[in-house]
Amino acid sequence: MRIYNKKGFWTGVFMLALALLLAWAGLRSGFQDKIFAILVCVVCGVSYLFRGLSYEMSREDRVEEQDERERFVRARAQSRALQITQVVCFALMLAFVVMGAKAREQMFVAMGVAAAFCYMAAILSELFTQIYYQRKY
Amino acid sequence: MKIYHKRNFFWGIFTLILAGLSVATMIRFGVSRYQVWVFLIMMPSGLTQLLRSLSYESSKEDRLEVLDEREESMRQRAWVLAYRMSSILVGVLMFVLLGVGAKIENDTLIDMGMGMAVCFAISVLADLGAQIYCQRKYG
Repeated sequence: MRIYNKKGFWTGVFMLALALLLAWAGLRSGFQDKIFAILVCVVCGVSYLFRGLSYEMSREDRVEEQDERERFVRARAQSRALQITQVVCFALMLAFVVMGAKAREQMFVAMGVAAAFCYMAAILSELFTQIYYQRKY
Repeated sequence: MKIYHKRNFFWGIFTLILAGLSVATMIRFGVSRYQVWVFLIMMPSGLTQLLRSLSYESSKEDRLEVLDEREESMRQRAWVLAYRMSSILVGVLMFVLLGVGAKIENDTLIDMGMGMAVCFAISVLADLGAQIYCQRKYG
């Protein structure tokens, strides 16, 4: 047995580990709301794992990954996703903090702090990567 | 007076509003070092953006910089890397906060983990939505 696509293989392993973790949590506190998530994780995990172990499928995946058009679309999508994440995290931060202050509920304030952290992480990572690429090129 | 660069103009206004809010907070709750820093950063940056957007020459410069192929490629690469970095960081922190919160039975940590989970889900969904949009647009 040989691994032809390491990234796919480890994604599969991670998904299956997540499914196992959910199953373990289900055994402890009931399966009611976890069955669907477990099923999705198992199906995706097995599919990734088999694709990572098959020569033909790994080749297909690699060709698709290296395709110029696919790369362009992925890059465009991820840069757009970063901008959307920044805007939504900022809005969430404000909403949670206002809700926390209005309702005097600590839960909302904690969630607002988490959203603020995510916003800061997105802004700072953008700043540092800009500096990195400015220096590199 | 004409606005030559709308995005910079509104960004300048937004930054000046934030500076104004920091002044209002200082008047209401007293001066703090943090608020002074916020004001000192926001005020000049907002004013610069505003004035640049009202000047024809500066707006032209800004627009040319945005259209420059090399700059665009660099920005694109930086955004992609930044998206991956921030997603991984938020995902790892979510697991850590939820795990530690459950272990020591601290509700605040669990709430923060939930906040992180919401942001993580938003970033994954935004990526998914943007992939579908871009596949349709450039496909």
